[in-house]
Amino acid sequence: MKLLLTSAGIKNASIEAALLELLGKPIAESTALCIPTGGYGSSYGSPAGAWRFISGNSDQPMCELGWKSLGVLELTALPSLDRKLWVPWVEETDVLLANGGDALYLAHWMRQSGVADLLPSLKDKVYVGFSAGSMVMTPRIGADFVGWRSPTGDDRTLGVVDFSIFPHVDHPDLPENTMAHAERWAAGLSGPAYAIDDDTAIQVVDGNAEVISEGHWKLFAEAT
Amino acid sequence: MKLLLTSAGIKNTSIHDALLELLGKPIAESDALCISTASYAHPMAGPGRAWNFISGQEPQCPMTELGWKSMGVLELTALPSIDRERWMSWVEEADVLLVNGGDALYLAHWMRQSGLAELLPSLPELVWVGLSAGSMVMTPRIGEDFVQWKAPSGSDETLGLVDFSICPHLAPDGEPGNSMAEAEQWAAGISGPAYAIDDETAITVTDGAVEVISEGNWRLFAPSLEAGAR
Repeated sequence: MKLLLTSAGIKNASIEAALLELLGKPIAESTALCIPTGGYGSSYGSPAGAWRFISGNSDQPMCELGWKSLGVLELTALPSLDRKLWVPWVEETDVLLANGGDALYLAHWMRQSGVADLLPSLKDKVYVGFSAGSMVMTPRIGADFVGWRSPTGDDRTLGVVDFSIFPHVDHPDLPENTMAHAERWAAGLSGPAYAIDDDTAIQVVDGNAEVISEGHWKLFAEAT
Repeated sequence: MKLLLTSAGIKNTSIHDALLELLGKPIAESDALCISTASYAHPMAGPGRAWNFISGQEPQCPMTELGWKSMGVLELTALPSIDRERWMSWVEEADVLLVNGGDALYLAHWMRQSGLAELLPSLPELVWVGLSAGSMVMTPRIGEDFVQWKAPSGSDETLGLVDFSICPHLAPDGEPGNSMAEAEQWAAGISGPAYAIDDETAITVTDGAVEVISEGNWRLFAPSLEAGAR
């Protein structure tokens, strides 16, 4: 799987160029499934937010990019469906677009649904996350981002990559999300961690992480 | 709760007028939540149909594209894992629920599991607009012909908020949909009254009063009446 972990979707030309390179073909020739699930778990989440994400009316451009086709992959529905029905949906799509919201809730349903287990076998699949949809791929989110309480009670996410992510750094509408706050957050984590603003994304291909940015970001490397 | 049970959404002026009457205000002043849950379980529906429905790109079955004041997604399969008070307030604040087709038994299962089925009777002003399986879910039974997803109970029972069954998508012989002969056979296997309705027909239910709204074709199969006529 190839990852494009964004803070706020395909916000600028550099992030869009990175997406095109991962896809290896135009967006208009790529099929997409969107995953709204993360949005339901957040206390800030609302039915309207899920609708804006799915219908492509959000401030985090994902579903609105002009995909060849779009479908909804609702993780909470999958355990009650026949695997033979939904696994081909995932196998046949070019890209998965994951909504933000609550990263632990999303991680819980990625595991419960079986999608987390399936992803490593899908080499050419592109996964585009924004906010919690990106954080879900990291090993831990840090206590500051814990909202929904997972049955395990910890802050562990899927650990597909080995670094953590602090999204929306220095966002004007989120006065708490300062770089100083991100630094304190990173100090509470054992591994490397990135703070990224909404004009930044991290792509991961074959284990290699690369920062794509028209904004600002910082890597807090592990203390050695 | 007031029901507008359609075969294929708000297909014509008569059904549109019936909707306005149930709402008691213009669509542009009404807050809507859409429920696409049923669509996931039906092999003919799937993720693409869910997206079309939610984003209002389904001209064959107009529902979310009508110009609502606000639109949100109520995902029934997610509700058991989120705070009940949070989602109950979403439902209580909505004027209308728009319910996609797909698999009626899967939808009934998640209506019960989520707790929404239990909540609905306490909301007298809420309007439920169903399309296909989104209408059938309100009936007592769907009949064997429509069983696809297998419910844990193994039966064909749905919520029973109305006392009649519905065969949607009635169509002339040779056209896609259900023929009158198929509908007749289906109705014979159901103990209660049953309507076969085409895509230009809907049934409203307000305070237990049932009314058929149609610019097309429909038929009521009433077992006792038919027996009496023979």
